Amino acid sequence: MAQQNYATRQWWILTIFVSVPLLYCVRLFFLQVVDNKWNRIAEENAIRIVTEVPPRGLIFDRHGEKMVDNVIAYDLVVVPRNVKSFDTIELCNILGITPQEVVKKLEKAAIYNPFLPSPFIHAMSDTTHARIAEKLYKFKGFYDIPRTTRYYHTTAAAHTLGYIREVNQEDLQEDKYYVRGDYIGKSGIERSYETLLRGQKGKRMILKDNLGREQGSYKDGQYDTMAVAGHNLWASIDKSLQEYCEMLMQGKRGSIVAIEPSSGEILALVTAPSYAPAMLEGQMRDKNFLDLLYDTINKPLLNRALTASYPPGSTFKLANALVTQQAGIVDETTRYSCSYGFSYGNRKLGCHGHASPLDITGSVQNSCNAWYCRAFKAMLENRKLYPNTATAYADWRRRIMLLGFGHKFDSDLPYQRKGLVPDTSYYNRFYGKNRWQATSIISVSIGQGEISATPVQLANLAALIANRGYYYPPHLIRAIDNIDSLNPRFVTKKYTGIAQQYFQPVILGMERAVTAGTARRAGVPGIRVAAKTGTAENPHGADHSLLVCFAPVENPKIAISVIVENGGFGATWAAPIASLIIEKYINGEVKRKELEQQISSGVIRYTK
Amino acid sequence: MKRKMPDLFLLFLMLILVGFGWLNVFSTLYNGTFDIHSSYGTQLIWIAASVLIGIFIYVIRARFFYNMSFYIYLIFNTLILVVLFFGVTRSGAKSWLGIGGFGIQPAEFAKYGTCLLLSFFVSKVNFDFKNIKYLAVAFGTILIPFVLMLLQNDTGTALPLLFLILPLIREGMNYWILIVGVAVIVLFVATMFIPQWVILAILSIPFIILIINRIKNKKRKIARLFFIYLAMAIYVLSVDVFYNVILRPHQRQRIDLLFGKIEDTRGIGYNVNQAKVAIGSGGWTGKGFGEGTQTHLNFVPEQSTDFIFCTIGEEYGFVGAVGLILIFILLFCRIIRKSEKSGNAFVRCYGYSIASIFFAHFTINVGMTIGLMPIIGIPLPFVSYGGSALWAFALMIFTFINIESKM
Repeated sequence: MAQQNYATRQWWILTIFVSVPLLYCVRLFFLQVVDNKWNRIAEENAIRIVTEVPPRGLIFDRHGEKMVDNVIAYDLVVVPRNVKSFDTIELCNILGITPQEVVKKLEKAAIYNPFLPSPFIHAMSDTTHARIAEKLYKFKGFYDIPRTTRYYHTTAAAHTLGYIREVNQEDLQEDKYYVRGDYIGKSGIERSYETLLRGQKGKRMILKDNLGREQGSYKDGQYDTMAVAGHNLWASIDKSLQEYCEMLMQGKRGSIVAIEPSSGEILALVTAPSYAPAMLEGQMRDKNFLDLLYDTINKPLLNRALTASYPPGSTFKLANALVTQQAGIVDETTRYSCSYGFSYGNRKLGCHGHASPLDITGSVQNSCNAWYCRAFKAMLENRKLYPNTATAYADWRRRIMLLGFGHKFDSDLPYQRKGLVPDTSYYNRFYGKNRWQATSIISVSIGQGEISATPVQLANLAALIANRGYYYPPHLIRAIDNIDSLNPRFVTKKYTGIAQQYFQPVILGMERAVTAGTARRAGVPGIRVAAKTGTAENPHGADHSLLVCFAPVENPKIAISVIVENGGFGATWAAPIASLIIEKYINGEVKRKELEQQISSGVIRYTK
Repeated sequence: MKRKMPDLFLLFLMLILVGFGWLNVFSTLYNGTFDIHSSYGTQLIWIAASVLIGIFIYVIRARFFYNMSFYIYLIFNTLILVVLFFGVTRSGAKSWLGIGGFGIQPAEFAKYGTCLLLSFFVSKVNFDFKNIKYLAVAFGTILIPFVLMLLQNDTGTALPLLFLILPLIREGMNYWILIVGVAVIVLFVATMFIPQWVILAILSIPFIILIINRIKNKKRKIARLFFIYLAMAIYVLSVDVFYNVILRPHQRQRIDLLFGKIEDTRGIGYNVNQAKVAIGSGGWTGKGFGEGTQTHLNFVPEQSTDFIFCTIGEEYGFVGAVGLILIFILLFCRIIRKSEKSGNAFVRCYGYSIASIFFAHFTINVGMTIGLMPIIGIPLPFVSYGGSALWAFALMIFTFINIESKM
């Protein structure tokens, strides 16, 4: 029988029975409340985030013909953690790479994240994929994942369409939307419309069990987002016209820009030499890109149409004819004489033989240098309107810039150059303040000297003349799927500040230049064409051959600028090329096969 | 024969635990349609059966348990022997007796028998803890099922029997055995982290002080102190032998893991790590009923039996887990209080016995899931899924309610 004095032992035993559970409570407090890491581990355990990459938007031409399409290609990715030892030589043979490359790629992937898939080979060819797919079981940790890649329905318009490539470190830092292995538009439309084309990636949170098997969606998909397909774009480009233009430019350097004046939509944007857009897609991309990049003679990656600045030459006389009229310096009746040029001081700026004196129309028709020198001089020296030369020049410059020169267009063009219309401080620096006058900078009046313009600015000049006073910023996209209206800046008229009546004599002169002037080769039978040639002297060898034109005069459908580098007179190359483009665009087909053959097969020899 | 009201509060605590346990079994397995053939359905049947057993037990005369304790003990221990020869092996332990498609674990019932028989002996009028013969009988009562369970290869199930030392101490046994037991464990843990010679050096300090003290006070028994020190020294030096020879590899790994000597979240450490992840991710209030990802997606093994505390921790958070622990504390305290109030030594000893068994299961099971104990697979009383354990624990509780109110 237990004695009574042992009863106090119940308290010791109770202490044990209570203190151990309380100790556990303290432990639980630290485990559940204080330490946050378990929650994260639990999520990593049970939730797999699957990203769904939406199909990239397609690009159509203005008539709805597909230009850029999506096709399925396979990437080979590697999860370094899952890689078991494998037959490196076999892998190399299948993929056509060296063992050193395999080691390098694996190391790079392991550094990035040993648990996540890293790209190993991009866009394998069908045959490569077929060969690797059936052997994948031998290469643990390697997976083939389908993705959409670009397919081009044309060999033209490479610069305009642009290309996509895998994001690099910079892209990743710049925009958190991208993860490694994503693709990003890097030039052309692909670049300027990247955010619309890429769509919106979707995320699904999937529950997985201890063996990694899918067990349905997390919280019934409460946190899931659907992938939203990229917007399809309708480019302003006319595919067949673009292809035709590129065909004409074979063997030549230069560019063609064709604009629909009534909308500012670019119908063709040609830079020559170019490359086929498919070259920068797929497995050969890197190699091809380097080949193109290192071709420093032809510079095929240079987008001349948008980023090359040329002296506009005589085509610039159109701008001057408009500006001097609007400024009140000349009118329809103003006639200036020309004696084989314009003499100032002891110098002379030559001109070719033509009737004299000439009015505005005649000056455009015959491209008289003296007329423009005199008009420019009259403007800068007009002391009724302007207190001094600098003020007069500043006013002239302002008016010129309203015509689209000297600045970039507020547009979707992926790259642009400003060109150059020097301001007064430029000349002040060069000559000294008040130490320059009209004759110092007289070559500006005929588009030489310091003046430079891009082909798209010249085409825009033709377009605004065709519109008789306004233009729309030249742009490449005319409609976007699922977006109601285009950016309003594309449909807002830009007024040039030139009254409509001042266009009449200029356009008449341009028309006469085609019928009986310098631009006769730009003519097209049955279509009223207005054109102005240019022959731009330049430090790079023979003169550039330029032409701006639009047609038909009574209802302009197309405005064009053509530049053929070192092509000599405007009439030599640029005029017939423009003529064929007009015929092709207005009539739908070209009847003058002989001319077409002659132009397209014409090759200009470039020495550097 | 005096009669009191049966302890309805104790019954209430038990039913809360059973109900909460079932809810968690239900939560881990419910998938939209109620299926009586699933685990929660079976568990519901077992719960119903245990209530029937309870009613049956309650109507029996209280003296029956006192008189029949030896036979009850004998029957269940014999069953363990039967299992040893004819049993079914489940997860490494040969502890199941298959009857048709139905299996029971006699070991859990043997604990019930042991509690009864131990109380029977200890409550005898002439029982004397100073008498080595009686002491041997008491220890023999505990050790027979203990050894049988070890033979079943079921160390985990056997361990709670060692906690039956607590009722013996309450009844007057010398508590040195408890101090020795604690010392054994503390020294064992110490050798995991501290070099043996350092432990011996630290241990010698209090002994030297004590010996000097006794010499000064001219007391005797210095030899005894010396022998104690010697025994500890031998133990400390032989822990390695014990560790490497007696423990099996998987047991060694579990202990290494507990003390952080091996870092492993994939192999042997997977279970314990996942258990901690599940409980730890519960936060203050948990993810809600049926929302626990870790337990539902099988990251936690045995989440409705041995690791059911993980489900509770994950779905009900700190609040729910502590709530459950508080109910267990109440259960322990209630049994102890009722035992002390009863003037009957048999009832008191029995109460302490079952409280100790519950406490042992609770300590080992919950300690394992929160990483304070090595992995030992035993059920959480009343909460874990499983028929045998539930019935055995129900037998213990209902028997206590019976004898406490009637004896």
